Amino acid sequence: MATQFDADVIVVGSGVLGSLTAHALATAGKAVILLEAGPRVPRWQLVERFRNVADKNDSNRPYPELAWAPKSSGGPHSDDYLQNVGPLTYRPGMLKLVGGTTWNWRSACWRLLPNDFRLRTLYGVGRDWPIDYAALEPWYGRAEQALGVCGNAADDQSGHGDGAFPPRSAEYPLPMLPWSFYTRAIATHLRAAGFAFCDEPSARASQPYAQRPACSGMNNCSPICPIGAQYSGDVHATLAERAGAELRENAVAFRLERAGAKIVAVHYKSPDGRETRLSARAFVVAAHGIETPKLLLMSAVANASDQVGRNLMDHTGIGLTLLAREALWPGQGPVQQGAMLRWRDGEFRRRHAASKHALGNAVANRPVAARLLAQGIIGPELDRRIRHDAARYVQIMTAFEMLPEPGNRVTLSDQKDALGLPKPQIYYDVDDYVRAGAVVAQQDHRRFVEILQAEVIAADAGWRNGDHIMGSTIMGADPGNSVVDGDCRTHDHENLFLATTGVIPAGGVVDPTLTGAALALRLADLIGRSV
Amino acid sequence: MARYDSDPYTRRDFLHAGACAAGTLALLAPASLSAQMPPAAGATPSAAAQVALCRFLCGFPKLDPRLVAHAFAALGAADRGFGARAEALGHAITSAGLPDVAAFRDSPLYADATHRATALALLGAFYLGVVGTGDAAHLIGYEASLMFASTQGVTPIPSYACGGPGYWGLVDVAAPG
Amino acid sequence: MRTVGLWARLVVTSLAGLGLAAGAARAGGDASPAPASSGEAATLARGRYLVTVADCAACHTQDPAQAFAGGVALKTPFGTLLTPNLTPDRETGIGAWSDEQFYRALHLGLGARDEHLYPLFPYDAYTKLRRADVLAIKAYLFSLPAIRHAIPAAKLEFPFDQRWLLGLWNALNFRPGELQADPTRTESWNRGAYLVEALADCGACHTPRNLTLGPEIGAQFAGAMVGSWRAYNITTDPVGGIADWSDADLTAYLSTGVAPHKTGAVGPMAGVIEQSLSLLPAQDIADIVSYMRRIPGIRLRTQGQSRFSWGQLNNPVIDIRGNEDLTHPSGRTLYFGNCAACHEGNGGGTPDGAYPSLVHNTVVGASEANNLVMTLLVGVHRTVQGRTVAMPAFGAILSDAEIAALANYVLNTYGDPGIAHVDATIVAAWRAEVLPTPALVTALWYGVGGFFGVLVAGAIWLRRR
Repeated sequence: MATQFDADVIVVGSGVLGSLTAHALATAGKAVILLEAGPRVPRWQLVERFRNVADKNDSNRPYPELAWAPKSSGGPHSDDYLQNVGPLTYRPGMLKLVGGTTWNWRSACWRLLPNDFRLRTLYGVGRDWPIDYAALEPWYGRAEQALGVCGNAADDQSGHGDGAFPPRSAEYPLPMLPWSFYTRAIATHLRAAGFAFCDEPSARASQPYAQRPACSGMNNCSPICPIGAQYSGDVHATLAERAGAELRENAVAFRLERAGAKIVAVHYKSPDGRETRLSARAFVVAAHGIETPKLLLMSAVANASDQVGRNLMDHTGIGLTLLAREALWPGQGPVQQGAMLRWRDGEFRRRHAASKHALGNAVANRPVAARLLAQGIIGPELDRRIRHDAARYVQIMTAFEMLPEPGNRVTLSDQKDALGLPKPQIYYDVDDYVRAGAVVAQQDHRRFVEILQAEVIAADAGWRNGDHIMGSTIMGADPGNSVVDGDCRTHDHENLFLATTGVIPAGGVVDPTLTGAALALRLADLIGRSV
Repeated sequence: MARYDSDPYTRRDFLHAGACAAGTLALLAPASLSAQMPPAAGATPSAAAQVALCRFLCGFPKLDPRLVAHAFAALGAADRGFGARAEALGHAITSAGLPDVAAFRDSPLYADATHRATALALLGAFYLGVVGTGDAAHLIGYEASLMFASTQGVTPIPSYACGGPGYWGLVDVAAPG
Repeated sequence: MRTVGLWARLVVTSLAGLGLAAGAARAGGDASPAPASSGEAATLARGRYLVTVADCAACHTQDPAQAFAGGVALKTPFGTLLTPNLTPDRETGIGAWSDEQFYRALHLGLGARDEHLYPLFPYDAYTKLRRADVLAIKAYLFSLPAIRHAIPAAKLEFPFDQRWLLGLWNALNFRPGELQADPTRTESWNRGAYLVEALADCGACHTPRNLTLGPEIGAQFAGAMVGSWRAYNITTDPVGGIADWSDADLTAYLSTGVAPHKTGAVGPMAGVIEQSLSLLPAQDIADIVSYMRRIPGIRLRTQGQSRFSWGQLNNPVIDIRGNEDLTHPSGRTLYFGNCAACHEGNGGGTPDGAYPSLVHNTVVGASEANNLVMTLLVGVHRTVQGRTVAMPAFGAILSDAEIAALANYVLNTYGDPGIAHVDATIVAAWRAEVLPTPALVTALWYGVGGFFGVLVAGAIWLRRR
């Protein structure tokens, strides 16, 4: 038997979870190869690409559009990559370059609540996690350190108003960013009306942190933070390389080679179609929640449960756009601040989905000017109205908890991409649990309109993608109905792990990246001690 | 915040600018079409007329001729008749002796669907900085887009600083701007 | 001719760049037992204060948790010296030193066995200290925890390992003696003279060096190199120096590291302000300013225009929008991608000055490109009064050629276009902090050694005859 391996561990995908894993393993002295489908692009290029891009409505557009590394949208290859065949179009943000999708995010870094781990036991819906909050809690702390999360540990993040929650063994590494006038004003109004409003913890350096400068509110978190105050996965991709990991970009993994119950190699294609085989003792697939199940399906591995690709979830949501009566001035500080958590947790989860209202804080000149021009307003009044409306533009994004449905799934399409690999096919819909949650959330929306004495610009605009890919390689205790165990190890292959938010069986209402990061650090620690 | 030098919206001496607070909108007096600056040497008469028309519509006498050229190129590429319609609009405005864009807005010319569409297409190019949508979108400008002019000093042009770290927490509790 | 090159306080750069905030003011003092008498307490307080002004930690503290334990590597053209352990450990530190030995070290540059100390230790400044102050420094150091940290003996190449040759250096460059007050000057000036000449020793960095690397007579504070950094001309010359800074500018700069709308401290000076000057009482800063305002103005040949006078706001963004080659970027494109977000497209920085203007900026407008390039390479990290100012280290992101192109764009647009010819080779050399070996000095020492060798050989031969 061959004992010579190309690496101790091969990690597929250099996004935040893959890079955290690769860095942790390299630091632990393992020989690591980190594969990335896309190219390496320096931040300054992305900044100028953003400024140069004509269509600024699609935040993926600044990112390279490559035939062998299609994104979820933003160009001729990417726009036709995800093949949606269901009632809703599932098109969450996804990028392929060194550092992954967190180049373009809004960095909300919430922990799940203890009750989120016991959804079925407590509320009779969905699935339980096979681990509990206590098991993940120390790793949440380490993930917050790694990503440089700023927040307020005294906040009640449950929405119940009972004091600091969830329990934490460590402070946030960074103090929360100050609230803008806009956030303070809205918080005041909403709290006076009985809504719980708290800060949204985020991976932004509120002070210089590691090598990152402090956030100065350039209000461009998505699509690209110009200065790297906001965390992006390239931080740990670079750290992994400095720790000795070998990073290969433009390497599209397309097959995990199995021998018996073990994975023995990964095969990848270069853009010119050339194939390379690499062997290792252990493998971590960290290709996010669509490409990870796609790779497993193409390889016909890890799927004795027939759950690979199924149970696809997002935080599908609805939006509300208002013009408040008072000038509030969104656009100062980061693009998002604060959240209303009244429906985050409670007995109501038996009957309808939990939800979170997040307050948007993006500079509003573009949508405001477009709207006014569409109304034919020109001349001095146009400038006056742009200023007037931009000062009053309030955006609320409401995200719903999804339940895992086997029919919501990623499969392999008949359509092939430029490398001859099948494009992902997606069937996706929301169910009555979510629709019932939306009814409640829209009552809140009507209250917001009253409280802010606002004019509605847009409501009922349909379901929106939440960019939070979960469930597609679901975690569970039972190998018969789940893909990975509580350590993110696949049930079927002891040396194959999945570092992806796709393992999340119950995602609550919060952005899953911090949870994914905690799981990645935890699985890297496990691999580091056993490989 | 980022500005380009030919900037009529504030007259502050940059080196003595105060904190990120409201600037007064000191719009230059809008000039009538026929009183615009003569064209740059070597420019064709139609190019000069295009610049004059766009400055008139935007109420911004210093609108950069390069942006005008980009806009006409993009609009003409999408619609070959656009140049002619813009020329017709220019003539109509001059013939009517309209002193400024507010007068144009209130005149029967703006009620004409074609003239209105032409005017709005040009204004969209300079205010939003783009012509067209999706894969066919064509950038006219970004930092120079006029949609940002009226909020200068209060909120940033995204990807540029408006103040130092945490500046927004230091803004007076009275509403900025 | 000015010799480029200096007994480089090189690691001051690294310490300053890392922004270690554990200045002498915090060094271990909390762990010592309470002094027995108020007189003793006053002496210790005085010693602690003097150690802060002199910034002993800059050279003698490698790890803030092990204050003054030495071992900091100082690169010189003649080899690397490791600084001694100043804690009261009897075997590896100065615990066995008497008051007289300690005084002779600072006053005469002599070690415990009366050997010459290398003048990288600035005894030519400390000789000016009053004896009571020297002993207060000793008392303070002796109140700190003794740390066992053995420092290997200095190993320089021949003939620089011949310490007796330093006697010649002293003969040429060193005049021992405590600083005498000048009765024709104000008290503030005299206090300032003591602070500047005897303690802070600004001349160690800011005074150009003569052929033997001693301070150049008649050129005090006219500017010198510190590794790859330039310590600027801080005389009162209106073109070469800082006469166009107001007292308020100077005071703010020395106290906080920022002269609003003029400059922010970078490189080793940021460390000096962070660890020493920002911790001094306001009166000390006023005294320093009072002294510095009255030193003679000197202009070097290369200093043709005030550092503060260059540049105009200029935003070429309309030229470049939609019109850039990002794979072979120009300096202008690199500026927009890396710098304009903070310093703005027109170079003017933010209205609140938090991100400084590059126009009328005394680093950008200097007559040599060193500090601009070094700041691009290593960034800024300065913590003063609890607030940290940071600029990223673009040397980690950009190649030498890209740094050069970017620097040239900044110099052409906001600085002195006459020096906008930085290239990748220069950037690489500055990045490596390569010290030019002053060949003249090497030859000189070999020559001097040879001369004395000939004398001695001749004397022996004559004797034999």
